[in-house]
Amino acid sequence: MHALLVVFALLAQDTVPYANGASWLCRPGRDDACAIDLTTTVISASGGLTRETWSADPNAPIDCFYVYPTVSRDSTTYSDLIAGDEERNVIRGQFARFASVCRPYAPLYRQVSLKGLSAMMAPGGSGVALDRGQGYDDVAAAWRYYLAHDNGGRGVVLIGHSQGAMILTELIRREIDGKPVQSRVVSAILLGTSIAEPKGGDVGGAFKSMPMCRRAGQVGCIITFGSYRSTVPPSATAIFGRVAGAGMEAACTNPAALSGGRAPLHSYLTGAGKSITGTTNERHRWVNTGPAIETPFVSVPGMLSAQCVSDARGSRLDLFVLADSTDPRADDISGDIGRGSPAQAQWGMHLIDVHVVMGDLIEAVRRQSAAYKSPGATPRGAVPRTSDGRPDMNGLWQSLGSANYDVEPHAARGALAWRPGPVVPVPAPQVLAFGAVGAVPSGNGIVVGGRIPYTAAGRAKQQENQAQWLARDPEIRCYLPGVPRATYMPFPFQIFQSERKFFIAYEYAGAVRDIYSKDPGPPQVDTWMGQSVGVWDGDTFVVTVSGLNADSWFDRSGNHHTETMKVVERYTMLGPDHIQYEATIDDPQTFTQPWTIRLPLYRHVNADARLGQFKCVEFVEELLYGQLRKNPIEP
Amino acid sequence: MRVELLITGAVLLSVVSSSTRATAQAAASPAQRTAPTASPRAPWTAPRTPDGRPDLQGNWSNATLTTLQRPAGLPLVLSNEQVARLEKVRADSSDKLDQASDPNRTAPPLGGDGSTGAAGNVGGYNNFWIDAGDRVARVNGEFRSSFITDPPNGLVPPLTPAGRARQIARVTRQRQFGEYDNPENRPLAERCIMSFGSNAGPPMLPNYFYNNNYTIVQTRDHVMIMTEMVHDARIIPLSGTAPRTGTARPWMGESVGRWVGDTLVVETAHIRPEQLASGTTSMGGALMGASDSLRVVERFSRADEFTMLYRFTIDDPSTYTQPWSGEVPFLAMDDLLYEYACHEGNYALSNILSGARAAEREAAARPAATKPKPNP
Repeated sequence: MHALLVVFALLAQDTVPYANGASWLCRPGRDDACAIDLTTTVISASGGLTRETWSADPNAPIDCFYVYPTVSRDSTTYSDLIAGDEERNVIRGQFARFASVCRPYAPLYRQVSLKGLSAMMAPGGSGVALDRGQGYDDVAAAWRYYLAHDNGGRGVVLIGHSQGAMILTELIRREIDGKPVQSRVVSAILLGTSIAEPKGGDVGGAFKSMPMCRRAGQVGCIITFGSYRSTVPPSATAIFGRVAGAGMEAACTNPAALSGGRAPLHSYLTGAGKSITGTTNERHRWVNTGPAIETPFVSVPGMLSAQCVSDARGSRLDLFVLADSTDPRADDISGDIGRGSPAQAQWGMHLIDVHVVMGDLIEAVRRQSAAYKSPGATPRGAVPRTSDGRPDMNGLWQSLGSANYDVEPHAARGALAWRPGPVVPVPAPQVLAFGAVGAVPSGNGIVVGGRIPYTAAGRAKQQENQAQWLARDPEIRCYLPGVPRATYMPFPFQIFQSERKFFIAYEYAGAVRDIYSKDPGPPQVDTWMGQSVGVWDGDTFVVTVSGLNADSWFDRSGNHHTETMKVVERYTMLGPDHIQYEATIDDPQTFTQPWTIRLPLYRHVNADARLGQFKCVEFVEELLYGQLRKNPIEP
Repeated sequence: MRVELLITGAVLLSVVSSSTRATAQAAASPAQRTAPTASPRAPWTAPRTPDGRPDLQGNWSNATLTTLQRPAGLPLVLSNEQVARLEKVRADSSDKLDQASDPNRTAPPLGGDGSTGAAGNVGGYNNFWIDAGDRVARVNGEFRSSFITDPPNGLVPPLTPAGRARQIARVTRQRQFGEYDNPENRPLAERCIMSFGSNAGPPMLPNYFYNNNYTIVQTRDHVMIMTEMVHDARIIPLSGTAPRTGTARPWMGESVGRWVGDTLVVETAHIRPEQLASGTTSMGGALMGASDSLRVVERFSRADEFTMLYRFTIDDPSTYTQPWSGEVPFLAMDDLLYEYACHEGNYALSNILSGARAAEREAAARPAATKPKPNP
């Protein structure tokens, strides 16, 4: 009854509720499709049988996120969200074993069913586009849910086969490649599909910045192939191994020999004769003599080997089967599609792409996981970019340090407001109760060259402002912060950057700036946040700010300017998570020459980072209006 | 002031419903104000972002004469004649208010001259400041008498007993104080905390006053809607999952968006109770009975070159006897938005409170004969 209700709830949604555990085939620490018997019988060439047990590592340092291939036998074009034998069985064959090296995540999704795929591929069908539509949207939603709620900054291996690999390819292209989250991708295993790479190159085909894996322990890279029997190479109408685009070819990486060449495979083949869709084939006879194999998996050391081949027929992983009719072990494997028919040279060994290299994949991930943990292994330095090639500054940023207390170099001091004391000045009564909380931390300053080049009158006014801080600092009254102070207030701000717009929302006081790409001409009125016009100077976003009023300050130390101030800001990404911020300040009425501040901005890297609200107007009502209450509160 | 504006709108619509006079010839035909079609050109297609979504970015206004709820006696769809008459009444009224003041006029009497509306009374904004919208809202080619389309009568559905009780409790809590006793007793807009009306929302409705303007910025994973009044940025992650649960109840609530085909669907929960409790003009206090489980679903889609269709549904089963929905056109603007630095220049709130204190002192100083007798 309850299960039915859940199902109906899922069917009724136009997005899958991935917060609901029933929307996942596998999640760590559950009794689900991944918590199954994976015992293997190792069959030696001489017919000797050894049992190999398996166990998950619940404390694995990285995660795996798996998207299964076309398996659904639902009668509709898109599958439902009810896990059937086929979904559970493909987990068994392709994914559950990874739980020994990573924590398993496998969302259910509304994939194109086998029936839907047949209709698409039939003459007169719509053609195959498995990487968009409902299936993609579901997987993308699951990925975002995983990132926001489960990932917690851990490394993650993306694993997909066939339809699942196509969806993951598109997901990487749209949401990972060149984005900050790329640094969390330990590797992507995309099998039974065709991934473009430039001929003679490892990067710049399907993905802008993720290369193919070419050595053991390399992280942030792609493992991909489609497998064919060496004796039945792909035909002219083969499904895998060819890609569109001049100068492009399909990539092939052999998990058993990432740096190239032919190598024996560590396979986990099905012992009970089940294919990935759950249909039961005739039981495979693995050994001529002796007891029947009862374990769900078998391993056949020395029987299979593979090598990447690229020729006029395309790129593929050639599978070699060592047939020795003199030993008691079986001389062949199953897993071909359409054996003996033309389909065999089209699809190859698609059904067991993953099975034949399962042990090699797990070893590859184990080494990648070890390398990922060591500092420097994470891809660093890549600046994410928008579709038009600009540095992509979307995200939450914040400065560190004490510039908002004082932009000039300063030692720590005991309070922001003072009065004379018998020996030395003491904190003013208004701030006395704060004690150490009200003290000022030290800072090296952000002014290039150390001190602000004030005119004599300008410096005198700063000192007066500082002495009158309680009465004069606009921050105390929750007034808008102005530019550049908004940048180094002790609050994050969020940049919204599209190909057409650049907009900054600041948490403090809900300040906003729309950075115009087209200069609307001189501002019609002076404002707190000014009028901003931004242009790209190479990879630096240069913003000219004019029309600033005279009321904002630079900090809590009385540093000030007039309405003739012009500010030119420069935003330059130093890497995916850092922006170098510079602002040159010119105000001849206050300073003897233009001066510059420089400070780094840091990205909030947690996946669930969100800009909070600090609408502080209501926080200062008692301060500003308390004496105007009908019954003022006694001090 | 704002309540009076609402009444003005209702009065205007009632002119339409009761009058049988012929359409004023002076009024422009509604058809004339559609996009200029001087030269043939390619049919409009919705602009798209590089990742293939409809591009909603730009500046928009939802100013209009049409109100949330339907005035009695009107159908949902108004005739061209009704629209022309309605818009002419507004235009004539505005023309009259735009007349130059008599330079020899005397000061208004103490306490105001009794005139009503935003430009009336002493100290009110004059018509120069008002930009309330002078057109009837047009949705799918139809001129609408109300935003609400469901229920079909165009009215906020009746409250449940629990909703009614919450509404009364909120009003009662407010009425234990005099209107001018404390800053917290004044409306959110007067305190510069939120816009007049329900501009920022959700739902995002016109305020029948001025500055009904919005900027939308759209990235692959966020949509940001900035409401000019009071520079409030609604940040909507396109994470596809439900708003997170928690104790945070921010202004404008917590919103999560997703694309369903070419429509941006935004679901919002956890709206700050103080915002629900405000009896703002454009909502007519419609959310005052709302519970903590109120959900607002908004749907944004491009209707044509000049219009974004905004649809909203309010769902709160413990408050309303049914969910209710409405449609509001947002029109593209070429103009820039400006900084609405409300709080920084809020002399009014100090003056309102000190005015009330002055009135109390004057009352206290009146001769004993005019005062109520103190108890012995």
